[in-house]
Amino acid sequence: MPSMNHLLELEGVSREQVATILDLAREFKAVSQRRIKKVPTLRGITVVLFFIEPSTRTRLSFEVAAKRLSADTLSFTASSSSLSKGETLLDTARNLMAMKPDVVVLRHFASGACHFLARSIPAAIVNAGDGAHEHPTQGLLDMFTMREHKGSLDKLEVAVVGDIRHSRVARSNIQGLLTMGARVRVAGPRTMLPPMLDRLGVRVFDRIEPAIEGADVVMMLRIQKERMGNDLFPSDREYARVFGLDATRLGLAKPDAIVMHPGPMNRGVEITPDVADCGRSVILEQVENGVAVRMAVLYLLSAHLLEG
Amino acid sequence: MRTRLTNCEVVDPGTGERYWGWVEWEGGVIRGVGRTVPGLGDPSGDGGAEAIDGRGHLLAPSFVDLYADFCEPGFEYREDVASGSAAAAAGGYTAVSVRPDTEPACDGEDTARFVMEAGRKAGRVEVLPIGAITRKLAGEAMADIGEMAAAGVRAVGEADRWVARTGLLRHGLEYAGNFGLTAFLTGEDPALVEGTAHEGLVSTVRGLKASPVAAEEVAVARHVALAELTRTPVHLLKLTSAAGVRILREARARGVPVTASAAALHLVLDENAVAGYDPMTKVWPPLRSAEDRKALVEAVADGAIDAVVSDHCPRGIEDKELEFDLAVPGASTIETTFALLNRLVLAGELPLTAALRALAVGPRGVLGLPGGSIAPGRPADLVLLDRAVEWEVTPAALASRGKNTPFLGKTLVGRPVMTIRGGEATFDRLRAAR
Repeated sequence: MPSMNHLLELEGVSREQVATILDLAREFKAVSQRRIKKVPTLRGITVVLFFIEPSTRTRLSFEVAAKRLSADTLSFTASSSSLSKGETLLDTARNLMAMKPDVVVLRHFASGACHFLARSIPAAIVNAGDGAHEHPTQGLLDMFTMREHKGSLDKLEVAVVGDIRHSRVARSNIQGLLTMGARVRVAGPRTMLPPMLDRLGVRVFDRIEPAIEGADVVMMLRIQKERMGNDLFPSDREYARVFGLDATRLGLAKPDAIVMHPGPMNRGVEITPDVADCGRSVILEQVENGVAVRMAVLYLLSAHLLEG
Repeated sequence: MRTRLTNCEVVDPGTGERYWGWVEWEGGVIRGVGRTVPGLGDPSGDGGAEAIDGRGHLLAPSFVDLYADFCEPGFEYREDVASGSAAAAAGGYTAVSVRPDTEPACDGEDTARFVMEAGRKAGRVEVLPIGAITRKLAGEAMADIGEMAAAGVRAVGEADRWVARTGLLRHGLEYAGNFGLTAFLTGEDPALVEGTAHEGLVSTVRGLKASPVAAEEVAVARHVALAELTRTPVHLLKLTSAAGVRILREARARGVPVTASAAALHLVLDENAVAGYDPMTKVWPPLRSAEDRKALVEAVADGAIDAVVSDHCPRGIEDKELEFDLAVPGASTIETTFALLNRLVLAGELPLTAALRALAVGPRGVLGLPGGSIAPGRPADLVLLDRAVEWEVTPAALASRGKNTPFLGKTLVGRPVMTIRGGEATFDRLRAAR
């Protein structure tokens, strides 16, 4: 089994490692479908959920994942912490280390914050989203979901639509999918496309239609209105009209294409309610698979600590 | 007393002359130079002067830094004039022009005199404060430019800040021109800047908040236009991009009174340096693309860029032990500037004489300082350089209070071994090692 000390990003994670995580996640998914949804695998392991940036679903998903593996969890959020009193991330983390956690799951508003932590403290770090950089477990759960529906990721045509520039979900999907041999197209208004993405081997579109055409997977990203004001697009109405996914546009994709969204959705903005709730939408499966993938990641990062 | 430095390779970057020989000075002034054959010693003898064996090292005019932060008054936990001066002397410098964004800011003669006096007390380098253009660097009202000029200030600038009111900047330049001052302007148009990384492939992949090259283009174009309008000499500090160099070349060709510099770090590092989110690599303006770096080196080689500045920014641990986005930009560089340029020389990217010209001749030209040449009658401001010595950049190896450098723990090649200012050694590793 390929060894991992941290999971900071999918960039640089090998095809073999991704496959290992996804295979293991399939086994753990079965645990969640049992009557008793708990295994003793990580008994004695302590997982700290260190969430500097608010997040409900990712934190809950990690917490459920850890608990189903019988790990102990400590939850530490920005509002409840001394960080709001001016303590630095490093000092807070050093204090956390006094509780001897084995794994620290970090959500942070700054890109690279998890790298900083990984250099500074002796625990396995899982990046649960760092700024606009990556959200590797989201990328993994998305790939897991795609694989469940499409069998293989190889040569799969995946369209990612929305604010690519500021999206860590987009980056993790791009990195992971390219590693797994999928073909990635991204689309969004030019205000939301970062430069030079084509250098990675991604096809870049400034209209949604050509990106969706013939796609196996259509992934819509959340428009983060709270972050961007009105500098990047004029209004929700116009965004929905020009870049939103509706039934007509979905018709351009392959007939068996699936629709994904990392949540939380802005219904009526990037995705119409009828598409979000249609039979091809796998949005709620993504949430369920998130737990399985996170169980796999926590297991791979800490199981070796239980040996000997 | 006469002193003769023998057994060294003399380089005069102004003329390009390079020969084996000796230099003799008395009373702070070079009295004579002579050529010898390596290994044979000096056939004429030392004529009764105190002799220093240069051990085959390179002797060049001492360096002058146009842009460093000595942090005093106000930020002494980072550096003060004494520690900065010691670091500068160790870096081969005999004069350093320091930033005005202290606390209080250097916006009047009191602070300017205080900084100059602190420099005199430290006694290692001439400390030349840059005067603020606007009061408190707030961009709202003109600073006491005339009084600072009377106190000995040679240049004005706003440190790394942007004067939003271009009209006020224009008037500041016009007024500074009255007193024969040069305006030192840095710049990125902040309206285009989202963060301290170059907007390019690395920022795209690593999700870093970035600044496009256009931010520098807008700023440089503005400052060139103001130089042309006001006829006050403008020094474009810390160019980072090929586009900035292009505008500079065009302006110079038209006779606009502009000079320019690049920071040493930007000549050796590019955007890839920040890919690991190491706060030590966070500097402003950002490290740009490999093509930009190449254009900067070419401009230093052909003289379009007059000077290389250290952009010495000593910072405390608390400024740097943070997430990349939150860390304070800047690197402690004044003791490594020569080693960084030497790296380019060893790699064949930059001729040695161009490197020394950018450290010793160009900066003096910008400030109108004497020296920069090794010839009888010139000031005995010299630096002896060991071009081959390998040394590890450790906190203990740096005299600066700032240990924040991307080269910490790395090995560099080349280092000053002796700095001579006005005929006196202000830094001496040569004889200390005996």
